[in-house]
Amino acid sequence: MQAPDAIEAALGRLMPPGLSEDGLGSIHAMLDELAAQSPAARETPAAAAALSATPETPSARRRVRIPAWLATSGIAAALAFVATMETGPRPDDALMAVLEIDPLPVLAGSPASGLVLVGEFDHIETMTDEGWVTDPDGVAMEATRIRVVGGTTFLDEETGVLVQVSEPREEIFLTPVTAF
Amino acid sequence: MDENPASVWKEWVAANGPRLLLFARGWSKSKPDAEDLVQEAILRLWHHQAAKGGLPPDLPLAFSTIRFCGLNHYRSETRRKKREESVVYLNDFQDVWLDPVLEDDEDAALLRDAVRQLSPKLREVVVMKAWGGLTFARISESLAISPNTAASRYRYALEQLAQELRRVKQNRHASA
Repeated sequence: MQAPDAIEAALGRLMPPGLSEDGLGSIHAMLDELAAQSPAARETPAAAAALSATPETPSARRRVRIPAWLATSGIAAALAFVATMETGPRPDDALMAVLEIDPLPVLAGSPASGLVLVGEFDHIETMTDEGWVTDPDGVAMEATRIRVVGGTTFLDEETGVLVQVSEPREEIFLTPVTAF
Repeated sequence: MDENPASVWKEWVAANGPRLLLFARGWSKSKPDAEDLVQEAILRLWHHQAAKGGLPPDLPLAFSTIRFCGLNHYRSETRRKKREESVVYLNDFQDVWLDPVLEDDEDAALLRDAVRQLSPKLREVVVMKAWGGLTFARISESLAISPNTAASRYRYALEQLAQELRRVKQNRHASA
């Protein structure tokens, strides 16, 4: 079992372990809950009754007021970010759509004025392989540079304007090189 | 869609769960963490697919989502716990993450250990190709690399596995 072809055949004989009962049960419960919340399920009286009894998640009730000066600086930061955004390679758009954090719903009965937190996001814009580097201890590491954009979206209830505060940043991940 | 969407997704999880878990294992410290990662990815994929008929996604998108969820997880964990440290150990495995079909097959056990020791970049290509059944073109979509790079990494991984098995066997013969 030394030639690559033989290795490939041997790999086929290895089977990845399955999900544990707890893990699978948790996923099934989540899928059932998601299916019950789908628009089709809402049309049936039983599902609607079940949904109406479902408590709101804590995140759905989250509401933050911020002062006017912060909103102004937020708009400026957002505009500055848009103006300075790089047009580098982006990961697949479909994946980016999956990774976007879903905005929090705006609840009825919001205050008549002020800014309401409606969503948060934190996604990877670009990921670049930086090759091998050496850490201070002399260990070979693989470096990956990641450009991340995190931010928050607020709604000005008086004007209906959405304010998005974006914070781009770069991070470098070093992974030990275990094979040469 | 007439069929209950939850049932369709459960069938999809039953068919692909092990390979997704194996891929997630490369981004997790333990099997329970890997299962959490799979679940998080499925949740995101559910919402994403809702606008596309609600059917389960294809495997490359699922692999990509797990990969980025794993990366995000490590980023947030690192920021929270070790703000001063710049090193993230992605491959500090403590448990077995790939079971040989035949427990008494020595080659299978050696191969399992050798796969575990591959670098993350090589291992994820091997997982996608050998157990995900993806073509190099689809692996390249998932990892945002060229198909040639995916193929090179796979060939290089196979060579490394062959070399490692040869080395282990020679050591055993020498000590016997």
